Amino acid sequence: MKSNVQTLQVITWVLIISAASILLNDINEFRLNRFTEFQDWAATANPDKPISFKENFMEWAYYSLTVAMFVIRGLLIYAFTHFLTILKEIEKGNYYGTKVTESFKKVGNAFISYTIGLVVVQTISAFTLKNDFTFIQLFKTELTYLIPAALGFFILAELFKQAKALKEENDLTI
Amino acid sequence: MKRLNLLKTIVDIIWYLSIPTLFIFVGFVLYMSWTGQSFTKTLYGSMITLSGFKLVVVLCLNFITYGLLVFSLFLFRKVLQEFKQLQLFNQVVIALLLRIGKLVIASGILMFISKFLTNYWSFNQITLSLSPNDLLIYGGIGAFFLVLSEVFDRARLLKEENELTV
Repeated sequence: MKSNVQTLQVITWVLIISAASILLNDINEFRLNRFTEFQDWAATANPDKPISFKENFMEWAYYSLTVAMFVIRGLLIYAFTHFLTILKEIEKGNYYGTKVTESFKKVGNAFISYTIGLVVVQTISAFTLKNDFTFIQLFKTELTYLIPAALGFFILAELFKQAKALKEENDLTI
Repeated sequence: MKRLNLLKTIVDIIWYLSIPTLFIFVGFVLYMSWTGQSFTKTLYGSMITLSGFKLVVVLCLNFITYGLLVFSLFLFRKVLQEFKQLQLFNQVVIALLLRIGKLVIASGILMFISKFLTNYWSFNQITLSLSPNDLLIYGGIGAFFLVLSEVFDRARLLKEENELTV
């Protein structure tokens, strides 16, 4: 039991570290590109002309959607950290504690939010930035795995709640 | 219960879609080994071509991997069926979870071997990385099922003890 939990903890740590490093690298790249774009704009900008939101709509849309994507990807890391909490509790022997049940729910919610967020952002970017977006493509990856996984975590939360009730009953009997 | 029904429906849909794919896969493996044609696909951003014995080995490994995953999906359907009948912490569920865990880990290892061989036969190089790969992800999912089976086993003991006391 302990060895399986420890293996799972190591794998979760690897996933968290790699997801976080990829996200940080993407944020840094975005920041650098934005700085280069700003330098180009500063070299040619007319200081007397006011900044128009309407003219720069596409640019604003791009920035907002990119930032939204970063937040959505952060949700996955959040889910993994809660999964780690579950594993730590199981390792300690608190199999049916409230913390485990709550964490299962949080992981499920994070997965659902990630998928919904991704669908919304990709749909908006398809309409505003004319990006390629096929629902089937998204359906194959995120929707196939994450929605069932989220539902599975919700069911596990319920099952662990029932196991907790059994344990409490047992403890009272003793 | 609503969530359980929804999950069961999704898993059923994936299961019914994966069965024809399995048969198509068998047909493809037999066709490629019979005709001896070469197969080209993109791997790690480069076009690779495999043919003959190497292609048959890689296709067979992929087929076994896919078959194991489909079988574990079938077992998972059974687990959900047990849950639907409110049989939560019984021996059947525990045995099924244990078997699913082992099958998923085995499929992860086979997937890793298949990719490793494809890479080696195509580029003549051995590469290993710690980035999230199939072995890590499938190993993680498999280990999670193993942990679940053990936690459910403890819950079963509690339940049995409770019933004896009553």
